[in-house]
Amino acid sequence: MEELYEMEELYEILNELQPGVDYETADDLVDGHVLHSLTILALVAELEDSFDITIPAVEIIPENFNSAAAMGNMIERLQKGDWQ
Amino acid sequence: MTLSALLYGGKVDQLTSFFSLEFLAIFFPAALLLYGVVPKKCKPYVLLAESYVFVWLISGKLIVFLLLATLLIHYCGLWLDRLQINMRQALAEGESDARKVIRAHFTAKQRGVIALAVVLLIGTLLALKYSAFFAGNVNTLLSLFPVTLRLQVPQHLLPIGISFFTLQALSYILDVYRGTTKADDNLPRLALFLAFFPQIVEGPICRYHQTANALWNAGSIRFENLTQGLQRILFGMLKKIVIADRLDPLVKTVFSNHEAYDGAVIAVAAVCYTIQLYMDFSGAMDAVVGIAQIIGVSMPENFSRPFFSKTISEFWMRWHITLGTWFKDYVFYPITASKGMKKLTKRSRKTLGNHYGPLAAGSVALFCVWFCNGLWHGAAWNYLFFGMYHFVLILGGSLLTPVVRWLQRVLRIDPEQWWYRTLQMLRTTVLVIIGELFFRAHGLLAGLQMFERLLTDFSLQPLTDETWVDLGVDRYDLWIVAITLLLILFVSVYNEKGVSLRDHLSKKKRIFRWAVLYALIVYIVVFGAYGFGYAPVDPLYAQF
Amino acid sequence: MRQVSKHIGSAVMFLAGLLILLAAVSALLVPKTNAAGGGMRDPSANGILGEPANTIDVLFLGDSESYCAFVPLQLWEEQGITSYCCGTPAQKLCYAQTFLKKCFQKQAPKLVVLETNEIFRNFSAVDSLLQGSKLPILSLFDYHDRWKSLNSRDLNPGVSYTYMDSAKGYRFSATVAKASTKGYMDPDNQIARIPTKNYLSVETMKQFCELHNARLVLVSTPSTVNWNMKRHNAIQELSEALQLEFLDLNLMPEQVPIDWKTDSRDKGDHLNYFGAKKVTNYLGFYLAETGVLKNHKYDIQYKHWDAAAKEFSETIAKASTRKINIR
Repeated sequence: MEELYEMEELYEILNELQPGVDYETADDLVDGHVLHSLTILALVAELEDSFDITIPAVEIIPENFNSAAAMGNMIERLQKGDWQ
Repeated sequence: MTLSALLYGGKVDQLTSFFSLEFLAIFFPAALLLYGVVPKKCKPYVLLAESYVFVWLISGKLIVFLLLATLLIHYCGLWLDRLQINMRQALAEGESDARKVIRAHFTAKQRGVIALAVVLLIGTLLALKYSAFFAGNVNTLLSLFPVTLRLQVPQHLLPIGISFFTLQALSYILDVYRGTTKADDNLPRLALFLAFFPQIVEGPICRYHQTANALWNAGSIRFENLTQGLQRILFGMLKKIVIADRLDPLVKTVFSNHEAYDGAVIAVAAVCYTIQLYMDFSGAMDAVVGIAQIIGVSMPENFSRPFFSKTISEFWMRWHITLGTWFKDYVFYPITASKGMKKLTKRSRKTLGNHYGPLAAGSVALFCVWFCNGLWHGAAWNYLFFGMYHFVLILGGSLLTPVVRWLQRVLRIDPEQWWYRTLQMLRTTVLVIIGELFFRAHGLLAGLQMFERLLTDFSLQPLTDETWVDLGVDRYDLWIVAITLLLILFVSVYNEKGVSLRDHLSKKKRIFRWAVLYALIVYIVVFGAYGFGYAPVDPLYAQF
Repeated sequence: MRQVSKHIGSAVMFLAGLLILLAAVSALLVPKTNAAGGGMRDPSANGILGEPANTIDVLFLGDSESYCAFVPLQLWEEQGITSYCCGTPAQKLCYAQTFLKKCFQKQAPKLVVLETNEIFRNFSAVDSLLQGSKLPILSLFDYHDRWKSLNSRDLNPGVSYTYMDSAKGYRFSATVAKASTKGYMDPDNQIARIPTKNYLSVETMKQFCELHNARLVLVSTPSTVNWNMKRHNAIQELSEALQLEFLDLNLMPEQVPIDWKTDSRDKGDHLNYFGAKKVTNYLGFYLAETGVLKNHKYDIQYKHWDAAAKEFSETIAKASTRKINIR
C-alpha cells in the first residue's frame, strides 16, 4: 500500500515539473529528451526532500530516470540505504 | 607491411579521414582482411596492433602519450581496486565503531590515487594543448607593464585523438573509483578500449562498459554485419564527400577573408558552415559506427538528428551526444550532488520555489560544464565564447520556462501543434548557426565583427552567379548540395519516426536493393567533391 | 561453407555489376576533346594530343620549372627543331610517365628531356594508381566533375583531340621579381636523397625511351629556390648509375648567363621569359649538336610551325612591352 502511495506522489512531482507527459507509460524520459539536465536537477532535489533520501551523482544515470517505475525502484533502493 | 609501416611513422595523416583513398582503399581493407583471417583467439590482439599502427602512421612518436595514458589508468585502476578490497576486509574485521575511521582512511587514499591520475591526464592535455594559449595571454598581459619579460610560446604537436582518449581514460578511472566499473587487469583489453582505430580520431567518446568487452570479444565478420556496416559507411561518405567537402571552399573563403563580405554572404557562410560541420562530423561517426558494426560491435551514437530539436538544451542531447553525457556525468551531476551545492539547493528552494530554486546550484554546474566544453574544443577565446553563448542560452531557456508556459496558457497555444514545434525548431537552428559562426571564426574579434555585419550590413540583394563563383562554388554545386540535403532529410524524417530505411531495404528484393546501392555509389563517385580541383579537407573534429 | 560461397558469389556479382556501371558512366564523362572547354585536365600539356602524327622530335617533361624554361617555338625559330613541353604544375614522376606513354602513341620523339626538379617529388601509391594508370574506369575518378559541363556530344563515346596549344606547352610570363643568390650553388659534398620509387621510375622511363628508339636526357633548369649542390650531386650520381646525359644549367653561367636581378618571375623559384630565352637558346645548340634531330625549317610539311611562331612572337611582343613598362 505504501508503495502505491509513493508512486502517486512521484507522478505528482513529475507532472508539476514537466506537464504534458503520460508518466505512467513513458519509458524514455531521458533518452527521448523529455527531461533535461536542469529539470532532472529540480527533480532530484524534490525527490530527496519528499522521500527523505540522498541521491548521489552515480545514481543520476538515464537508466534510473527513463521511467517513473525506474525512479520508484531507485527510491526504494536508496531508502533501504544499500547503495554502498 | 610492418616494415613500411615503421618507416612511415607520422607521415600518413591522410588516414585521419575515413574517406581518404589511403584509409578506404588501403588501410581499412587490409586491416579488415587481416582481422578476418586470423583465428578467433588472436583477433583482439590484431585489432589492437592495427590500432597502434594506425596511430603510429598518423602521429609517429607521439603515440607514446597514448601508451602512457593506458599504462597509467591500468595501474591506477588496479590500485583503486586493491584499496577497495582492503577497505572491505578492514570493515569486515574492524569493530563497528572503528568503521567510520576505516572508511575515511581508505576514501582519502582512493581520492589520492584519483587525484594523481586526473592531474596527470588533464595536465598532459593542458600542457600540450593549452600552454601556447596560456603563454600568449600572459605575454599580452605582460606587455601592459614596462617589463621586458616574456614567456616563450611553446608549439607542441598533438597526438591524434588526445582530447578524445583523455576523456575516455578519465571516465574509466572515475567509474572504477565510483564502483560502477570493475578495474580491468587485462592490459590489452583496456588498451584496445582507448585506441580502437576508427574511434580514436574523433570519437564517439565511449565508456568502458559500452565498448571494452564488446571490442575484446568481437568475433568473426558476419556477412549481414559486413553489408550493413558498409552501407552505413557509404551513407557517411555521402554526407562528407558530397556535401561537407563541396561547401568547404565557400566557408573557407568567407571566414578567412570576412572583411570583404556583407551580412548576407556571412549569413550564407554561417549556414553553410553549420551544414558542413554536421555532415563532416556525423559522416565520420557513421563510418566509425559502420566499421564497428562490421566486426559486430555497436558503438554509442553521437548524433540523433539534432536539427529536429525544439530547444538548445535538447539540441545538446542530440549533437555530439557522447561529449554532452560525459560532461553531465563527470562535471554537472558531481557538482550539483556535492554537499555544498545540495545545501544551496535546499535553501534556495525555500525562497525561490521549485523551479528557480535548483537553478542556483544548476547554473554554477552548468557554467563549469560550458566553460570546460568551450575550452575542450580548443585553446582560443572564440571557443570559450562559444561555450558561454550556449551556457547563457540554456540557462536563459530554463529561466524563461515558467513565463513561456504561462504565455502558452493565456494564448491557448498547444505546444504540440505542428506549426509551433516547427517554429521552435527553426528558432533553435538559428541560434545554433549563430553559435557556429563564432566557433568557426578566426578568433573572437573576427567573430564579433562578422556578427555585427550580420545585423547592420544586411542587404537582401539577390546573390548573383558571380558572387557564388567568387566564393568558390557554382550553381551546380548548390544544386547538388540542395538535392543531397533533401535526400538526407528524407532519411532523417524516417529515422525520427523510428523507421530504419536500412533494415527496410534489406527486406526488399535483391534487384531493388542493388539498384539503390548502385545509385548511391555512382552518385557519390560522380558528385563527390574530391580529386582534381578540390583540396582534400581534414575531418573537422580531428583537430580538437 | 555453402553459405560462405553463396555470400562470396553475390559479392562478386555485385562488384561485377558495379564495374560495368562505372565503366559506362566513365565513358560518358571522359573528355571528348583535349581542350579546357571540353573538360580536359592540363590542356596546355595535353595539347600534344592535337599535334599532327610524328611531327614532334623533342618532348619536355617536368614540373612548373619545365614550362617556365623551355620555349618550343623559340627552338623552332633558332634551330628548326620541333618540340613540345608536357610539363604540368607540381608534376610527379608517375604523371610524367603517363605523358610519356601518351605522347609516344602518336609521336616518335628522338629526345625526351626530363627536368630534374620533379625527381625529388615524393609520390604515393595512390598517386601512381590515379595518375599513372591507363585503366579506363579510373579516369572516372579523374574526370567525375565533368558532370557540370555534359552536353549531347558526350553521348557519343568517340574522342576527337583537335586542340593545339599556341605556345606548345610553354607558359609565358614577363613578370620580374629579383632573386637573392645567397648560398646559391655553394660547394657542398652532401648528396640529397632520391626516394627509391623515384629512382626506379626514372629507370623505367629510360627503358621505355630506349625501347622506342629515343634518348632520355636530364636537364636542371636554373632556380635559386629549388636547386643546390646537394641536389646536383644526387642527380649526378643517378645519371652515372643509369648512364644518362645530365646537363645542369645552374653550373653553366657562361653558356646560360642568367641575371637573377631580371630573369626570374618569382624571386628565383621560376624563370620568366627573359630567363627562358637564355635557357632555350643554349639548349637549342646542345640539341642540334646531338645530331639526331632534323632541321625542319624549310620542310613544307612543317609550315604550320612558322605560323604558330609568328603568332607567338606577336603575343610576346605585346605582353612584354606592357609588363616592362609597368616595371
